[in-house]
Amino acid sequence: MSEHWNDLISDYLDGVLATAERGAFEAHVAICGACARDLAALREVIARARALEGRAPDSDLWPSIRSRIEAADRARAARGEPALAAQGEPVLVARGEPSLAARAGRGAFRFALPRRVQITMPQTIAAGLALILLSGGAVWWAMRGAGIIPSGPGAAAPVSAARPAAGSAASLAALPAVDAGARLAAYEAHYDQAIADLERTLEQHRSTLDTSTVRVVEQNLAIIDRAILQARRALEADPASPYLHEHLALEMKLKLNLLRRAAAFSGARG
Amino acid sequence: MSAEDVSLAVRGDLRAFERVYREHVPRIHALVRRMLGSDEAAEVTQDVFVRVWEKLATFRGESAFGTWLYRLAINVVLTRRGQLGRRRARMDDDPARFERIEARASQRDLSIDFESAIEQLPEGARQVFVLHDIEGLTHDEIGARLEVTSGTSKAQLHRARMILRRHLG
Repeated sequence: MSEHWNDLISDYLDGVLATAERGAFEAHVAICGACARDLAALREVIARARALEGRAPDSDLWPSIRSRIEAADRARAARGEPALAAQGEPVLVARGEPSLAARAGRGAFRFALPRRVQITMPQTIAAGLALILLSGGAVWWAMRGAGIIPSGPGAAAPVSAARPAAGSAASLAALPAVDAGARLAAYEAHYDQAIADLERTLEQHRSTLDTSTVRVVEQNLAIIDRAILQARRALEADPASPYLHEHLALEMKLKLNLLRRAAAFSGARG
Repeated sequence: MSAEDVSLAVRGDLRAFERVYREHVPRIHALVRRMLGSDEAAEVTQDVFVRVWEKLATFRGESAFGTWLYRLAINVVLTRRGQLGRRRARMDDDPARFERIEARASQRDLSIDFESAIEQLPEGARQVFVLHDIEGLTHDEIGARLEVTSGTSKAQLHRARMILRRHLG
C-alpha cells in the first residue's frame, strides 16, 4: 500500500472522503490486494472496538465512594452548609419516554430543574414552608375559582390565606425547629385535602390526556409518594429533626405542584 | 428502574445512587481503564462517581442520563490526564511500546486480548481511539477536549488502528 492510499483508508472507513476521492480509493482497492487486506483488517479493528463491553472493577468501589460522599457531607455540615441532598426538583423522566422538561419545548408541561444553591438550614426550612404556603394559597385560589371550594362569607379559607404567613420568610427562619415542625403538622391536614381534591379533578379529566402523559404523571407521582412515605416514617423515628420536616415539606410541595400543573393542563384540554 | 433511581438520586437518595452506580460502573470503569490504564482505573472511577453525585442536580433530564454521565466521566478523565501528563509524556511515542503489542495467540478471550492491546497503544493514539471508535465522539469533539486539531485527532486515530491491525494478525 502506498503512503497516499494509506493516508486515505481511515477517512474512507469513517465516510469523510469526498465523492471523487472515494471513487478513486474504491477503484484502487479493487485492483490492489494489499490495500484490500488492510481495509478489511481496519474494518475488523473498528468492529472489535464497537463490540467491546464494559467490565466491572475487580473490587467493589461503592464503599469507598459512599465514604467519600458522606465525608464531604459531614464537612459541609461542619461549615454550616446543607448536604447535597433534596435541593432540586425531581428529574421527571420515565423509561422510554421523553422527559417532561423535553416535552415543555413542545408546549406540554413546563418543568424546570433549578441548579443547587448553597443556603443554610434555617433558610431552607423557611423556603420550604413559604413555598407550601404559597402553593396552598394558589391551589385554594384556583379551586375556589373553579368552584371546587365554595366561596362566600361562610366559606372556609385556607390557613395560608386566612393567616398569610406569620411574617416574612426571615421570621419563619427565626422559628425554632420545633415550631416549624408544629406549623408543618398544622398545615398537613389542609394539604392532604387539597391533594385529594386535585387528584379527583385530574381523574375526572383523565380522558383528555394522552396515555403516555398519564403514565409519566403517574410514575412521577409514585416516586414522590414513596419519598413522602419515607419522610413520614423517618419523622416517626426522629420527630424533632428539622431536616426531615423540611424534606417532607418539599416533597408535599412537589406533589402539589405536579398535581396542580397536571390538573390545569387536563382542564385546559378538556 | 433506572429512570426512577436517577430521579431519586437527584434528590439525595444515596441508596438510589448506589443502584445508578452499579448499573453504570462497568462501562465507566472500562472507559477510565482504556483512557488512563489499569493502575489509575479504580481511583479515577471513584472520582467520577463522587463528581456525578456532586453534579447530579445539574442534570436536567434533557438528554439521556447515560450520555450526560459519560460526558462528565470523560471530563474527569481528561482532567486527571492533565495531572498525569508529565509522567505519561515520557512513555508516549516510545517505539518499543508498539512492538509490545503482540499478535493474538489464540481465539480465546479475544475481547480481553484486544483490551490489552488498546492499553499498550501510545497515549495520544489510545485516547483518540477510545473516544472515537469506542465512545463515538467526533474528531471536532475530540479536538476540543484534547486541545488538538481535528487533523491531529484523525492522524492519531489512523495510527492507533494501524497498530491494532498488527494485533489482529
